[in-house]
Amino acid sequence: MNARAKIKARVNARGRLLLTGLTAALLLGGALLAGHGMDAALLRPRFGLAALPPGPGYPFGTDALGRDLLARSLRGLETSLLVGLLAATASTLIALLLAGLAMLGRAADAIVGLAVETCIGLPHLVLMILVAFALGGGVGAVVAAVALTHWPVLTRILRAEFQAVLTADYVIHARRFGHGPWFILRRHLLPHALPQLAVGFVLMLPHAILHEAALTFVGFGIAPARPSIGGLLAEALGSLSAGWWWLGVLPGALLLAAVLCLDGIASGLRAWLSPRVAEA
Amino acid sequence: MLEVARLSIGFRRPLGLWRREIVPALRDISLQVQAGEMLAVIGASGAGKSLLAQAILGLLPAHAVLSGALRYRGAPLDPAALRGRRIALVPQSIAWLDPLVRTGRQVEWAAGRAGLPAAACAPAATAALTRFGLGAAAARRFPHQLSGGMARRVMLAMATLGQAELLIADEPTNGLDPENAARVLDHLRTLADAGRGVLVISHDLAAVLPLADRVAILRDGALQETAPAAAFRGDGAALASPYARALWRALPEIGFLPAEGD
Amino acid sequence: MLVARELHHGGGLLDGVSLTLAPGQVVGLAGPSGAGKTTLGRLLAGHLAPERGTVRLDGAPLPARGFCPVQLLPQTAELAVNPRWRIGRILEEAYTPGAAARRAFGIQDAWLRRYPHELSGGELQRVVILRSLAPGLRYLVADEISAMLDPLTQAALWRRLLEQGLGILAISHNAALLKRLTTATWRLEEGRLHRLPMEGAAGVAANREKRWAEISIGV
Repeated sequence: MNARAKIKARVNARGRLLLTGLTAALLLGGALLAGHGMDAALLRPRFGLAALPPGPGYPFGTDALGRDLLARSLRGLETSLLVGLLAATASTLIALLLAGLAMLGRAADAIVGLAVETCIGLPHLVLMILVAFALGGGVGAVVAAVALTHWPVLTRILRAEFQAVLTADYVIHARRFGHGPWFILRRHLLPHALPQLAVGFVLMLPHAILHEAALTFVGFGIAPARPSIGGLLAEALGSLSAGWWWLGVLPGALLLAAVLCLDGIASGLRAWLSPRVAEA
Repeated sequence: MLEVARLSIGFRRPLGLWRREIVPALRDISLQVQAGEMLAVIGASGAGKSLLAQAILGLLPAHAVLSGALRYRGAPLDPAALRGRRIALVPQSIAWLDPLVRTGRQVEWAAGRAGLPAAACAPAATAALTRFGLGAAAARRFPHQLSGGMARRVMLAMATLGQAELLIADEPTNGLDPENAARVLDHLRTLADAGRGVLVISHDLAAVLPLADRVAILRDGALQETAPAAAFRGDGAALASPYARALWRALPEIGFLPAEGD
Repeated sequence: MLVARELHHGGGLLDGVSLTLAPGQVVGLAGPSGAGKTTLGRLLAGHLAPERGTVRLDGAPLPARGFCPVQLLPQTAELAVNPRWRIGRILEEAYTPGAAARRAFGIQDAWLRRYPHELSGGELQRVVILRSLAPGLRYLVADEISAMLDPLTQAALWRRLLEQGLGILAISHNAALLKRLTTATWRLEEGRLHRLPMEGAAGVAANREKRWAEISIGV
């Protein structure tokens, strides 16, 4: 039996998902640590080593200024991840707040609903560019731009989840047993909300990162001096005609791998938090 | 017609993160269904009765483990070949129907699946519905618009379209008031009298007993006994197993007695 | 006394329904499907507020806080429990049932760590019933609680419930069961209650009763 079949025989479906999540987390963490541990000298321009294709000593090659592309990519990933984390946190908090407000009454629910439906329909990129531009660019502006455009989807999910719980029969039974709103919030609502929050947060990260990359690529995001994937891709654009494919393809592939890892982590998280999973 | 020989079914269940165990659900079940008879399989919920139907129809979930033999007319049972054609299921709930398609159309589809030529599907569907007292109005409704009794009759119609020789009715009286339950069972009885074999799976001994020929009692996945319906009489002395006698005496119609030691 | 007076609800579903339940009295409620029996049950237990009419317990409205002395035992147990709670936690939501009580209702210790979806309908039903039997309980509205149970479990369950000495409104289709349990049975039809004679059902059900009369001699 090959290794895959061996694992399948030993570990049940839930365990497999958790394994995937753990592996993904390790990969991602490892990449970030590696990026941090790399010699800072690799990031400074060395004109003698400009535009080298991937080869021994330079796994990703070097860019037009002779900077090691792997080091830059990993640092860039770190920045993108950080921005993504901040933006996703802010977005999740906004979503939680709005969904909670919507539960206060019919009018509140209608207002929040209207806000969600309106904002979902607006084009993301345009809105983000506007916000980033208005705030003058930079990391803070990017975080704000991404946070302010990503809350609608999670709000919708949370609102539906909250509503389902609050109108459920078992909540009515809880009230008839004498429990007050605080008990219902803590013991009935929260256990349903937390998994959605956690998974929603992790799933928002890839969006945030990709949008940050897009913003930086378009020029409204992070300053070019600070490495970020979007910035790298923007620089690579000019060099493509010169045939320096690795400048664009490799950072892009790294970004893709990071997003896939995040997806794997989200699956693992979902498996861990949810008692209902398919039997082995 | 149908022979179940020493059938055992278990489920693989995850134990924590790494291990798994096999939880037995049905143990060593043997029974037969002849043409022209109605066999009732009676058991409490969780006794594994529905699994029997699923096994015969090849609809067990992926994590089920099966041992023993299923035979149809002497040959090993091939669910994929017989399902819908020779063996038909009358399922428990309308969840089996497509909620977005009108009932009449779904009955026509069932006719096609049963092997009828395309041109004959629509008339056959209408005839089947009429046989069970459902008219064009019912055919126009969507599944969720049907009352419990009507839904059951639609599924009966779908099951009897082809010339299925063996009908399996999974909890046919669930959720129905006594009137409708009796009607559904009467239909099944008529089908049995017409020469088909009918396997009724139920927990409701009282509803099924007046119409069944033989009754098999399941308890915790094991077969207690298979008795002719006539044995359920008086104080149940004609029944072989204590559990069957206790079940009989527990009926409100008889003694409403719980088991001893309760 | 649990008194419902002139209940109107659901646009004609209940059209001036009045009902009285004395302490310790068991009353049956039958009627066609969808006629409003469940709605009436929910009104009596305070799960719904009636559009018109009142429900009073010993002269006062049902308490808004604290454990309500009138509890509803619902038709589908699956919806009455939080799917993310383990059985042990579900059982203790209103009070802490003792080990003897758990055994009496056939609730195994192994179940306590399981989730609702891992129990069968009948098993979950017993959990939901035991959960409601808190010390302050005086009246129960039992909505088809034994329809999914086999005869033995049904008999055992009802014997246990009757031992508690509560006033019970038993909603059921099973005429034979109601005859065993109740001193009086009502039929809800077209929004109104009719007193049901204990004998002489009509139509298909009568045929069945005749067949039963032929094969049973009663123990």
